[in-house]
Amino acid sequence: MKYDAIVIGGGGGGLVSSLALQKKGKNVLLLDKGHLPFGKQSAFCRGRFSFDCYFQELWEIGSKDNLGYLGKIFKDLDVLDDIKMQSMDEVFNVVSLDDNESFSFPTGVDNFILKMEEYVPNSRRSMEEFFSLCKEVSEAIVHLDDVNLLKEKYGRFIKVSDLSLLAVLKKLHMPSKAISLLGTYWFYLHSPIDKISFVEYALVIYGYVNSKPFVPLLGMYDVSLTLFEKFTSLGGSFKLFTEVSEILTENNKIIGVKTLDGKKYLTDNVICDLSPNLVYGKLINSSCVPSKAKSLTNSRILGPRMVCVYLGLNKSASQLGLKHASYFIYHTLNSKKEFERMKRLKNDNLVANVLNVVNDEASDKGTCVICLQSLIFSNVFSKTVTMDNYFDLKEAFADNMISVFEQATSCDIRSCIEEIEIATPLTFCRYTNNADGSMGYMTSKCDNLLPRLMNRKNENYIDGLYFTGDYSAMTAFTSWNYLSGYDAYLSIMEKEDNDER
Amino acid sequence: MKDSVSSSDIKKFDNICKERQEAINSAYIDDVKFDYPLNNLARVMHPLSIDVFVSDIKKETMDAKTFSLKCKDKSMPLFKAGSYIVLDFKLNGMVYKRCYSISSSPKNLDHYDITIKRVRDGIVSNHMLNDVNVGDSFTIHGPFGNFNYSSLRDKENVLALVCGSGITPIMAMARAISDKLEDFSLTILYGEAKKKDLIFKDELDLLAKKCDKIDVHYILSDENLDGYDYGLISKEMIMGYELGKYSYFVSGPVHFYHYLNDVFKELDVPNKDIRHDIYKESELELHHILHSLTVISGEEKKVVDCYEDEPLLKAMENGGIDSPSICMVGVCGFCRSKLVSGKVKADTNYLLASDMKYHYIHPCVSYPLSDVTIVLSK
Repeated sequence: MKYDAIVIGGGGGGLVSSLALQKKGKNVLLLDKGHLPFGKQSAFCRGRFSFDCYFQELWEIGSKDNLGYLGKIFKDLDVLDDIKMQSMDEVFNVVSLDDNESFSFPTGVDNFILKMEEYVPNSRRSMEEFFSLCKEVSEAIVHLDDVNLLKEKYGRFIKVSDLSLLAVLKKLHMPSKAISLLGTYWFYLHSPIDKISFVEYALVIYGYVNSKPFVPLLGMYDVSLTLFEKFTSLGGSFKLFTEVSEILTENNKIIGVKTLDGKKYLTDNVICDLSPNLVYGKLINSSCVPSKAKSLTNSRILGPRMVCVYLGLNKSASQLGLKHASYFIYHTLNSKKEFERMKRLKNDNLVANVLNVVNDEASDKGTCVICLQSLIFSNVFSKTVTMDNYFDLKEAFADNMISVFEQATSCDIRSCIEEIEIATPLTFCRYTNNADGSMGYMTSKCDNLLPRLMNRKNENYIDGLYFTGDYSAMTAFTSWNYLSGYDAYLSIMEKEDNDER
Repeated sequence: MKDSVSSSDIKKFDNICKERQEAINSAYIDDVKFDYPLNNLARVMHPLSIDVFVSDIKKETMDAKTFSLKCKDKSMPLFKAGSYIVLDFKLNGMVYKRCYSISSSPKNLDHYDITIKRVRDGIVSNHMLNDVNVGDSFTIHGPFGNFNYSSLRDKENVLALVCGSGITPIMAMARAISDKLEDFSLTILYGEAKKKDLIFKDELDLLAKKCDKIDVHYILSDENLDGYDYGLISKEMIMGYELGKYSYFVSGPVHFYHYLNDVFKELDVPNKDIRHDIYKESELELHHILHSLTVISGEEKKVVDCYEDEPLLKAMENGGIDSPSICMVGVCGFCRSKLVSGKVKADTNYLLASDMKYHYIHPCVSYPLSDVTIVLSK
């Protein structure tokens, strides 16, 4: 039997592409090596607490009558009503440890601008221009295939298309304090603001501010499982505990996959929710990998390595005085300096999510769950870790992160820890097979979201091979994993249309 | 910023892809690297399974033996003291899986020691004690578990409340402290029926003598001897250690946990200060009533007998259905399956909220209350 498509790995991207194809009447097989097919978008229990493994917010869901990018996809996949969500009223709270300052920003463009004016007088005008630019970028981005239209209708988009976030904000004469505050999300995009592409940043921040972030009330795991349940209810096939050992090609065309248990499955289309390092480096016979695919992969630098500390506390968020759902904690608001600091093993910058602030049912009454995430922008973790020092290293890392959080919030959480779990880059290696435990690839001045998107169709170097997830053209911003899955589905449908013609 | 687009703007836009392509072209076209040292370390520390052989058997008491398990060509993965392994035990064409805490120190990764005490009518324990010899081979999984000391969560002093063979993970902790791999003060209250049933007594006494962080007291229920407490581990004994200064590590049979949970409630001990080892047996009140279990896996459908007092996973084992499983105690999630019809009762519940929303269960800890149909996730 031949499948219309085989999806390897069921993270957000793999699940969306599986479901979208199956919904179109295609015959899809989802393969995953784990006992749950959800990659990083999974969850686990400790004692009376449960924790999402990775990220906890959804971007661009939008409102009922004005759905965002992701909202539209979930609606089209018929899962939007099955996932109960709560919107957040605050975009972020950013803390500068060295200056002992903190700033919090509400959702809604007007509210955000007002708040900025309060913190940074005379920022209003540049902020208004910034958001109007963001709006244009977010409208233009769907027309990347129609360059003439872009040039005609989206002139400002064209003008900023090759600029960094910092360069554009300077052009807008934004006060430097406002630039630093506005750039808070650089942590999520893995580059300092003078290196982040403006387009990429505009899409993320506009999605957060304009259409509000959402938290799924049963956790991100509920998004994964809902997609999976819909997929199987439509007759989608899956095999868990099944690791792919080889992707088979013939004359530069996909013909099937082979699994570790020696079985062979035939198909013309393989969607990989995996890193190209694994696909081109191991799964496809090296002699069948086009040299262009090799140089593309080799030109990339692995993205950040993450350490997550999951805490179940025996006091509620309000008892602890924690008012914000997400804290961005930096030594200083200078992203360039902090980015350099984060190349070291011991770095004090982190993002903390206090889920109960948004969702009071995230854990039992009188308790709360906190997830602390720190990134390392180098391979120093793998250079330092050995089997012998692993447990100590892990505990010391978590110890420091807890101290930083306590310093930033003036809260005692240490005495309230009922459950603690720590995930390191090694943990991510174990569960996701990601190269060196990294989260996608870094972006750079010339290789970032925009050119990746514009080139993504020319870069299917093997006919029938597609990538989704962190390492795809959509980069490693979590909600874009789902978009990348939908994009792979669209590509396959488009190819089919062309073939019919 | 002005709206009108100049030709230089367009040129810049057109250049975006060109510049990127140049950067890519200048990259080397050697084979792509995928196997990083960290990925290898992850595989070494968390293998899917390990093939081992019995390198030594030591008789501990009349009814308990320690088995040293070794791997032919490599050392064992590192673990935190308190962890357990799962042993696949093949007997008469069936595979039984059992969890055993590692009792040896993480310092010596040349082998793992597991200590097995005879369970009356226990298929596996009886065979292990009667029939297994040095040189016999097994497959094990793990190490797993969260019954470990954490300096970030636990107090500096740990009071271990132990009953019977529950001593094994605590023994590993004592050895790890003595080997300087763990750093906390461990006071062990070790309850047994009679002196002759105490496992590791000589070594525990020795460790207590030479290491000031380890202290041990024995409580015998069926013998009143000099130098031993008589009776059961009691509220008063626990109160002998200043409340609020200790974390309590409980290890023993399920009824022991329940009994102590009541004591902790009376003493207002917060949850955070109580850790217990996994439940290794069920304590639900169930009856030996026959039901039928339908198991769907892909295109296949099989019907087997199941009994109300036997977890669904065991019914599958007995019915020759190959079902994924590891921990057997509802923690690891490997056997997670979808309940399509029927009713089950579970004694431990580590299911996520969304799993419950979509009717998933863990067959290893779920007992049928009616005829049941499940779909395997594999």
